[in-house]
Amino acid sequence: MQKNINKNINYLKSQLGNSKELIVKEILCGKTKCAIVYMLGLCDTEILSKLVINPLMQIKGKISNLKSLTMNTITLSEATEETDNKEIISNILKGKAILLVDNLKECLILSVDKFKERSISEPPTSTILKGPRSGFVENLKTNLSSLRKILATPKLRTISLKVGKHTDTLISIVYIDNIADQSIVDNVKKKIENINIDGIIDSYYVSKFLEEHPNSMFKQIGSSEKPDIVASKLLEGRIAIIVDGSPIVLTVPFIYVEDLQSGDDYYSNSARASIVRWIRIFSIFITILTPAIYIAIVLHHYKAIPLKFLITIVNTTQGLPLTPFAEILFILLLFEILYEASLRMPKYLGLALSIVGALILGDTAVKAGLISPPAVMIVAISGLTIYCIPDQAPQLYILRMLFTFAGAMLGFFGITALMIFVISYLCDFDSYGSAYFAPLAPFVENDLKDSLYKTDIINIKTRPKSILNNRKNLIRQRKSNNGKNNHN
Amino acid sequence: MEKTITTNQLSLILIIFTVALKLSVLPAITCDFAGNNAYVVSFVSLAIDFLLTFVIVIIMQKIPQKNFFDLIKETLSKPVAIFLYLILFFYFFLKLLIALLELQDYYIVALFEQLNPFFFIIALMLLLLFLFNKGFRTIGRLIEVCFWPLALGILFTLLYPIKNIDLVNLLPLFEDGLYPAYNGFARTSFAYGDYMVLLILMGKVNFSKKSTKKIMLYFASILYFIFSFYVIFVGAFGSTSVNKSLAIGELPLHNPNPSTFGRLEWLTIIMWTAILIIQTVIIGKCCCECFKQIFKLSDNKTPSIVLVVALTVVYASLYLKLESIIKIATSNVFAIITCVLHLLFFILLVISYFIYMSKQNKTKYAKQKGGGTDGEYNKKIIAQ
Repeated sequence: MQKNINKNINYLKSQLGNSKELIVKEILCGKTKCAIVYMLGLCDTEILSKLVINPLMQIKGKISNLKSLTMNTITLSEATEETDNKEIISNILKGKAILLVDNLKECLILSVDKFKERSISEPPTSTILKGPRSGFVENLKTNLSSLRKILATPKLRTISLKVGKHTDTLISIVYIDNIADQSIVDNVKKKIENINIDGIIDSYYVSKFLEEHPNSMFKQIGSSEKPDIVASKLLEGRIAIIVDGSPIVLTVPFIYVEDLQSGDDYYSNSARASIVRWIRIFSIFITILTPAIYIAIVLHHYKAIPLKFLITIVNTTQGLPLTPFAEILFILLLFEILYEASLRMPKYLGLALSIVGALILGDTAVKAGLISPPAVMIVAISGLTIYCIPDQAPQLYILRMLFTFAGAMLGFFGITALMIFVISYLCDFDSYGSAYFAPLAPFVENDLKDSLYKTDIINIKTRPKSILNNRKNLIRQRKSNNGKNNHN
Repeated sequence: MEKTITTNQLSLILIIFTVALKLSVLPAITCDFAGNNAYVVSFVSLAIDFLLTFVIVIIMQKIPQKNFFDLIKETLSKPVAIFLYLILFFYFFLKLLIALLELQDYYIVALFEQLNPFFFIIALMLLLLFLFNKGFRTIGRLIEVCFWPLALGILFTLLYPIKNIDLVNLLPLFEDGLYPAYNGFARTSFAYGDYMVLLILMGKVNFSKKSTKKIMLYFASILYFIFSFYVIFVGAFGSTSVNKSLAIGELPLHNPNPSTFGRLEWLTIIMWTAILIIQTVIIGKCCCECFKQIFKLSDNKTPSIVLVVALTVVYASLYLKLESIIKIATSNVFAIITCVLHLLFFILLVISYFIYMSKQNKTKYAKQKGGGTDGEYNKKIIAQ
């Protein structure tokens, strides 16, 4: 910035391509010429005139520095001095207004940005029966405040970074100072700083850069749309990454059992939560193994099933034009097409589509002798259980296909061998120093309380050792002298 | 530095390594040599294994940072260490071959499966290549994840035939004198000596408090299970047990309700298939470690590829020829060789350990005598 206000205005105009949306409001404040620069539609002009322009017009003398303006004249709560051209342009584009004063090299950045924002609501991917329903929105500030509202501790730290050549997206790394491991914070910060990309549109972009095995199809970064879940993860020693413009907050380190946990588990009876967890675990196996086992039995091990069931299968599969393997593949493909179409279709057409899919396509195909009822049933069970763990659905789809192939080629041997391969592949994973299958492998007895089963919160006295956190501060609750629980 | 394994992982590796080779073809072979004394033979062999394992675990815990190769190199000499690792390599390679042939025989016998050999060998070798390339830490974690379902499979194998046991089949003992039992003990020695895997795992374990107790408790439980298995096997089949060539495949056939529920034991078969695969992985990994030490390699890729290629060639040529390999393994000459090897490695380890410790003590003493520069010595004096 230069001392001459006209040169500064011209500079800004040229940098922003002489855009018609760039508004330059020149005013005379006493004896000094000032200008307010902002982008049309991104600012709250009412606040700008009320808290900035009006008080400025009241000035009668000469403006010698910006500090006196912010202290005596401008009543806006957030106004900061800036000299860096890049920062000034970036702020204009983010909806801030700039106050330029003649004969001053510095300018004031006025936080009068006003974007139309989605109201806080329950996220569609994490609906619960009981417990907090608020979700994150697309605004980083709102998301941070949602977290701060829950974690009202001075130890909550944030590191802000800007990424994206053209988007200049604000990313915040959030953690609790004495609970999170500092080496992970530094590692995450370094990885985000090293991102050199033209734009960040959603947190998924950042997650790909944070992954330690970027070519793997398995999920390696935790994600949530709910402040209560992210807050509880921060309390366990994890680190959250909030990306401006995305309602999905990322967390690291990520271990597999996190996807078996649901917000509901923590606000309901622990026995019920434990049962539900086992249902989720079984759902994984049912999803990926049911079609594979069916194919393996029909093609290779038909002697392994009860005679009555075998007769039923033989009766229903007789005269089918497709082989059992092709039949299962056909139904799986049909299921995927229906799923994809129902997602993209307008809501009012969704019901019609499900009727077409379930009744007409399924029933007619069976009646026409194209597919058999057991095969439809097998794929339907597998398709239903996949949504018990929605976060794992993309991986489970692929695994289901792979296991079906293995079952068709090598029967139970193929399924067993592939299972060993997948488990050992995941056992080799480490997410920011935490084993992917912890607390099962390596076995951490204490952490089973909130993994394979769920115990009441009063029994969870320490933070999990399965993830890398500050080992010197593992105690979550201890008994005070008068016998009441006292938080550390 | 290589990533270490936990004592829990060590215990489970030892369990899987111990259990599989002893329960497939071995029960019938033992019965062939020792008659109904088979379970006594297994008891004696297991007891010896237990005692030797106990000593080795204590040594491992005393010098947790030292691996077997370095220990031998420092105490005896480098050529001796290389020679011993060469022997170990062939020892494990033979065991690996037996385990692989057992796996394929078991699968075919248990599920009456007509496998496509090409697909079977390719799939198995690709899996082995992947796992050999990983460290013991990954294998340890894999076993930790799979252990409880596998343990259930093992347990069900025992429970299926429990109604059919006739205790009369277990007696009388030593009807033809002690020779059959002795013969059985010697001829089946190739399947014992499980502590050999500990030699490879030396220096890779992160010992914690009460480690020895935990490891030995796990090991004792599995030995007790194996002994029970032999008792049930002899009790259930009596004089016909010689003909039951694959025990883990035969025992589940005693499922009491086959017509109602179908062959429920296929779940057990899957579990045993997994156990046998994991066992081959452990043995193969031991081979790779020997290869690495002999040729001073730091990566896992070269030994894994070499081993898998060699294994594919040998395995393909021996496909479905388990009997001929077992004949070699149970021959008189081979029995003597394996017995000698098992004892030799144990004795060498103990001797090396004592030499190493005396060297350490001498160095410590020399340092203390030199005095002055060593702060620890001064502190000790002050404390005294």
